[in-house]
Amino acid sequence: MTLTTDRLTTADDRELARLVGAGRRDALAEVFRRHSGPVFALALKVTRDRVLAEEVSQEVFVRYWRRPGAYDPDRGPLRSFLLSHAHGRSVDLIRAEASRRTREERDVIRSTAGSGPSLEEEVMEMETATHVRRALETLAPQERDAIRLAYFGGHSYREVARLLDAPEGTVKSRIRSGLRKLGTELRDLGA
Amino acid sequence: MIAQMRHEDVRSLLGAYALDAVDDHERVVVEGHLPTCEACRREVDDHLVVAALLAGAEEPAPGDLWSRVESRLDLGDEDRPAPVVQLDRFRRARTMAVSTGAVAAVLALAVGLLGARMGSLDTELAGARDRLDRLEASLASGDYASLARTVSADPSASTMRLTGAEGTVVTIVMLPDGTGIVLSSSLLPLETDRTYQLWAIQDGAVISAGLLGTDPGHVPFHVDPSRLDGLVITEERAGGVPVSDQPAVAAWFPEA
Repeated sequence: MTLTTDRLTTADDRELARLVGAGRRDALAEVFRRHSGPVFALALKVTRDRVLAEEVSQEVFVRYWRRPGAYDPDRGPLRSFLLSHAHGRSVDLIRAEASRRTREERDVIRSTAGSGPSLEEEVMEMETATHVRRALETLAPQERDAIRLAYFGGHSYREVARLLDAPEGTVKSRIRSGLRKLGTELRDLGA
Repeated sequence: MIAQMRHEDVRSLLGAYALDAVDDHERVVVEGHLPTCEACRREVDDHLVVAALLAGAEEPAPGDLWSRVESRLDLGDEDRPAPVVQLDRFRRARTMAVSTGAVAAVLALAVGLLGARMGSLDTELAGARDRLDRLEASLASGDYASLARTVSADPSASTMRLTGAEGTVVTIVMLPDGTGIVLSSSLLPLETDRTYQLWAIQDGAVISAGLLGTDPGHVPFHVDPSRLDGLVITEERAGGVPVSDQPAVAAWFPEA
């Protein structure tokens, strides 16, 4: 069965993924229409650079087109898959950029690690913000800080440990326990 | 050291891994582990869903972004413009991709190393000479099935089973000098524009150990055995890549 472009707008992501796998460019266009906003937003949030965010976003969709089989619908939503690629590429870019920074610049970043928007503020704009904010309330402040610096700051857990002056193992545990708590809470809240 | 990393150590990294907050060495360890552990795979999948919810803010993409994406869809990999920044998830110290043309060089190296062993170990001289003769004969004829038999019959050879999801197993046999060959593989055949690529983990670096082709048969390679912390296979575009960001389809790590 061939879906018309009109029908594509009502197809679920699993069906769109199947059609992208079959080489339907209009299905990819629909995937782009649905998910390019969050992909671009995340890339922009992590890289803090519109040009880099645009490059990351292009790469995510071109790569998905070339490797549609890399997405397994049984392992999670298409948006999670695309966002994880966007995040990975954004982190690659800023780490490459960071390696070129001077020590003074790094020191400035380090000295401001404790400031900046909170994790709650970072997620303020989203549709399910209420659920996520409620879930975030269940985390210890140290867990929220570790996740914020790692996810939106693009820092490795070792860098986060230095920034927060905490043991590496502790930070690693905080990130994992925080994500697990969030997962449980968000499932309970139906997000 | 990867060889000494326990399952619980890998589990402790899963949160940081899902947020791209591990270093390359740890990433390779986790990606080598995931195909073999459904519980850890599920945990990473759950973390990625949570991360996506955290990221869920919308920012309208630039109006012309789709047209820029679309313009790149028809480009083949070879014609694709170089990326603005190299994506270097798998950093490595050096690359030794083994194409068909480079196989002779690899085997010549193996023969040379075997010859060196012969010079220093008199007691192994007869057996080593015999192996050398057969390796040279295999090299001359391009008969890698024969080479595989020769290597696997060597009493000093060790066997490694690279495992992956859904029962994937790739069996490799390796001589003490690091000459290895794929004995058997349950990897699914790929399209002609794809290839399997073998990576050696050495001192924390991920080094290309050769291309295995679309349907790995008896493919020879060489690694430095004294520094080998693991072997990983990924799926890549034809011709291989110097640096991979693909997940492992099969992996082997030494017993702790």
